[in-house]
Amino acid sequence: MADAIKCPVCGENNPKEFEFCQYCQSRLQPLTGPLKGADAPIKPGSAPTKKTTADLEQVLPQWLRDARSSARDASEGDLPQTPQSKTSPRPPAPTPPRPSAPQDLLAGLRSQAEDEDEETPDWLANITGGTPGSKKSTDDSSDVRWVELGGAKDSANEADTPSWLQGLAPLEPQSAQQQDGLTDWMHDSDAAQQPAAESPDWLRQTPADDNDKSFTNSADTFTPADSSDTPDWLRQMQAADSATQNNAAPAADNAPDWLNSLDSQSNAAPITSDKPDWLRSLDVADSGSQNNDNLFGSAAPAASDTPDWLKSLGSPDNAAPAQSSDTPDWLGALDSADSSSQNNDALFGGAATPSASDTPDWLKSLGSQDNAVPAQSSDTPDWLGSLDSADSSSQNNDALFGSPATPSASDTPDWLKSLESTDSSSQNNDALFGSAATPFAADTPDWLKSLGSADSGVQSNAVPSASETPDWLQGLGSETPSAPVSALTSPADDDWLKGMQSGGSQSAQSDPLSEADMPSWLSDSSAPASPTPEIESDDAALGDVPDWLKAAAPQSSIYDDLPLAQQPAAPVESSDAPDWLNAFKSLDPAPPVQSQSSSTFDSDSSLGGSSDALFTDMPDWLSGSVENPAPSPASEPPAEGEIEASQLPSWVQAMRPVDTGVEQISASSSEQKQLEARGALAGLQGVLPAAPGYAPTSKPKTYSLKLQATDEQLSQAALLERILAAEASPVPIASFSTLRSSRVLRWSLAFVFFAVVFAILFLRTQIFSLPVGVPFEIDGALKAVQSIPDGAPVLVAFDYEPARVGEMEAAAAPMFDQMALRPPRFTFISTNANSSILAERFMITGPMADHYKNGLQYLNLGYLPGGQMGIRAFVQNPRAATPFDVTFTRAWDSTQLKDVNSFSNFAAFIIITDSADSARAWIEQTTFERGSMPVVVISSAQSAPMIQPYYDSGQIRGLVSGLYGGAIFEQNNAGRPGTARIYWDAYSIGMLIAALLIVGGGLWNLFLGSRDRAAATREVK
Amino acid sequence: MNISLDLISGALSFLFTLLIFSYAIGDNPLFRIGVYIFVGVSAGYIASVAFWQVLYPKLIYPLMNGSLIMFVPLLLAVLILMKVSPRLAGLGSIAMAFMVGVGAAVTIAGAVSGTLIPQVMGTINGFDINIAAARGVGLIEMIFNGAFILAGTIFSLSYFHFGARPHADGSMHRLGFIEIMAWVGRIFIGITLGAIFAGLYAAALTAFIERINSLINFIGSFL
Repeated sequence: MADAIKCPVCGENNPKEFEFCQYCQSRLQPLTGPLKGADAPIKPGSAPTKKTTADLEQVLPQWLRDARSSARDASEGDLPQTPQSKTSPRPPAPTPPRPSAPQDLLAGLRSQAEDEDEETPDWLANITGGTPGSKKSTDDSSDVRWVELGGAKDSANEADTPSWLQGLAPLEPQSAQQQDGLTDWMHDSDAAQQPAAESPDWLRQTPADDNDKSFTNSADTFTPADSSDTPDWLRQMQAADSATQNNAAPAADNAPDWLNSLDSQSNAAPITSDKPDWLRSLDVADSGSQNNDNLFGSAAPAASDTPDWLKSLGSPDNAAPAQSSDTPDWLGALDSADSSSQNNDALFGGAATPSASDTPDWLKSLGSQDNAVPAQSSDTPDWLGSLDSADSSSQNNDALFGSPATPSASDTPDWLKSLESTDSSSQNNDALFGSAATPFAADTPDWLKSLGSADSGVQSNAVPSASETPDWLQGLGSETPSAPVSALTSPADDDWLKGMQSGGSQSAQSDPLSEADMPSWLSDSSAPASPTPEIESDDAALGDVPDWLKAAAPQSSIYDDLPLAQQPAAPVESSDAPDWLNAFKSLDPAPPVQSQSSSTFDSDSSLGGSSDALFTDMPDWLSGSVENPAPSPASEPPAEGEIEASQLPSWVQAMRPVDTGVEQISASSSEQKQLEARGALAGLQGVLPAAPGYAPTSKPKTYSLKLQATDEQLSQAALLERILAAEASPVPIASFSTLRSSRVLRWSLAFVFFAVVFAILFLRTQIFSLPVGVPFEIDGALKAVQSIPDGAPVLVAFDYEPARVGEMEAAAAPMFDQMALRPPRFTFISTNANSSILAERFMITGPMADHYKNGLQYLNLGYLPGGQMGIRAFVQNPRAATPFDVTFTRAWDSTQLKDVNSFSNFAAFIIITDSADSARAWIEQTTFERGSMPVVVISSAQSAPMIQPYYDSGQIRGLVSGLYGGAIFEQNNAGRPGTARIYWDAYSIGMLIAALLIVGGGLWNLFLGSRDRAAATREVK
Repeated sequence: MNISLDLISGALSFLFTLLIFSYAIGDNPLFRIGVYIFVGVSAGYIASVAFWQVLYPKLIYPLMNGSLIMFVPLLLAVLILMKVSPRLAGLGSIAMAFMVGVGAAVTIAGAVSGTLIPQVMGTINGFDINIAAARGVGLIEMIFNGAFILAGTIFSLSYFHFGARPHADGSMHRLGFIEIMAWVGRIFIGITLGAIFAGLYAAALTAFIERINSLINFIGSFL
């Protein structure tokens, strides 16, 4: 893609003439002049260099410059605004592809006007008739170089700028006073705002054209207006620019022919007549068809005043322009060559058919292109013609002479032969005079030989001699500005132009011998341009060349991004070329995007190389876009397996801090310049570690796995283990021995008891006396019974179990005997189902049998169900609760209960029970109903302790419990022996035996316990 | 030959007494036969008593005599019978609730009015000179008896006080004076239980004597 520039930032292809990327606004063309190399890509880890902000202003992308401009404008709002600033508002953001070249061009103007101390070159002043501008006094204290178009201070400093250049600033009205010092044709560059009378038309028209064009390049600003004052050569440039848009016929009246030829690149581009022809051709070359990469590729109709050698530069591609007869043929060929081929990018690759007979033969051949029919001039050396034909036959050749053409070596100048030989050794056919440049031999001046030998990118073996350099060309070195003037054209142009051509294709290595003979600017043109430092050194050596022309030295990055196969063969930094010619380099037309073939000069290398040789010392304003195509290290493709280091745009360079912190960082980064070998970051340099200083400094300490514990801790741990083990192990449960001994004991005790009781009962002994004393409860019971009136209704509750019949009858019989003396009316009731029948037994077959037989009456109400509820119901309403007796007779209709209607109607209430609960139930439920009725409880011995409190509380009048109570009570029956007495000896023996057994058992248990404890004590000891 | 009822009853009494006494040599079929007979006879007797002394005179007979109010106890009785069936047991809950409710109310009311308050008053009255004089008890004896009963009551109740606080060693102990009172109360409780045991023993001994006496009488009737 020789016609396109690959953006180093975004990777998009841009037209060749673009200075800034139309997509990301990054700079495509390297800087020149003092800023040369400032846009060099920054490698990660590289130490920043201290830059002056003003110098870096131009490096900034367009959008950033716009932003800065807006800020600056806002800050300077109090300053008087010039019409220019008002009429040129900046678009805020990067928008559609904008023509960057004009802005950069004006940036150069601005720098010229404000910051740079360069004055208008004398040669230019001579041309324009004005006075050389004096060094301006810089008002701006800062180092900022105002590069924006339409800046606020632009108008104030434009007095020092050549007027014809001031007009290049678009939309900036110029005052008449500011333009006085300039030639008229230069005023015309400001034609958009200025009257046509004050400035040349072609110059006036330039801003307007800039505004109209949506796709322009740096040369657009030279679009001249039709003005009679404009030099033809400059007018032609403007015409060529406008012809690109309108295809209008050029009107190149006053322009020199040689400049007209430059202007007429595309199809019949209009050319203003006031512009010098050589400048017109520049204009046309830059703004011509998009297929042209070359300055001279698309030639416009040449004016008659244009020097022939320059006319050829401006020859159109496809059309057959009216070539001026003054133009050297060889130059016309250059012009036509570029314009004839759509795919042609080469400098001399156009299909122009130079008709001039003055052109050297060898140069005519250069004009022959692929698609054009080469017009072989009779003057053209044969070797050059063969070159042309050879090139046209090859569609894919990159180099002009890289084709396998074999021109006759006899006519070829020696210097061109050397070029050919040099190129032939190269693998890529990028050089201008590549492999087929064998014809250079004897006819070529030595100095041109040297140029030809310095083929770019190829190790040149040729050592051209500069001894044969014409004087006029040497004079160009000292009078570079005047070089482009057509009037200086002489027949010797052939020679020095040959040198230019060859120099453009020379390699980066220049021959010192040739430089010695040549003017410095020209000798530099043959210097190799590949390494940037060398270029800078070369520029430094060019003291005789104006800086602004030096700045025009092409350093385009176009060449950086080209593949190796298409890389230019070390474009030459043609610093010694006439400055005005170097400026042409920036006017390269846009390359065709769809270009398929690349001839010798299609490639950027060929063009660049030749252009560099010509336009190294262009002023800054002309050096906008094209830069030295020296391949920078950053542009070199990474080795296989490595990751390409990222490149930072140069404007970032301006923002990189260079203070101590940065130095430290860079220092630290320099210490860590090891490439990352593994992982996703493999190939990157200076990768930050995961954690700074994290790397272990020593071998990690080994720790023993053995537990470090004290003896106490170990003993406790052992104890814990034992406890846990004891928990897990089964423990036999200590079971008591069986009742084997108890059975014997039981049998023994049973036998004793049976024997003693049976014997005592059987013997009817009365060994033991009855108890003498009468307890209070028994005494109370006795008194209560004795207090019962005769025939009074007495309620007797029989609530004991059949098993307790013997005890209960023995306890109750003495009382009933006592009562039988004054027989009451007994009414029996029972809350126990079995007790009702026991009442019958007590009265009929028991101790009261004799009394019953004697007419003792009683009423058995039977069973009273419901427990305490039944008692409560009976106490509340006896008639309703127990309407019938046990014989199912109405109880309350009997004589026993004839006067009893309620519970309180009973004279006494006797409770015979073996249960404390039963006694408590009767006592509790009869509390509020019994009144003063005496309650006597005859209880079993087992329940007596629980019933005793009721006596102590006074709730019952007396308590007779067990055989003991019956025995006492029996003693008060007038001495009648009763059941108690029968049982009393047995009972007493039994109680004694029990006491003895209890005491004996206690002592035996004590003995056993003492023995066991003693045994345990001995075991412990 | 006429066999007197007393002889039969005495013979059966003698037999079953021996069956029960056979337990002295351990659990044996004779003991079990005697127990089962007693249990069966008692159950039969209770059933007859329940019918003849409860259901018939207090439910059936009134119903037969036109007392419609007795349908309420009848319905409740039927509902209680539903307890036999697990599926219908819920129906008996109504009657059971009525019975439990009424029984609890009666029991609580009787306990409060017939035991709690009178016992408290009895403890207080232990120091009543008039009561002591009425009983013919002297002042010193009265004070001793009253103090003994009061101490026995307080100490026995203190024994059943289980409130405690944690100590420094983690153990739980009652307060010191409560611990002492509880220890004294334990003595009172021991004496009471000893007295109960003595009464139980006396009751059992009396029953044993009566049975031996009945045996002797039965045997003596044949002699």
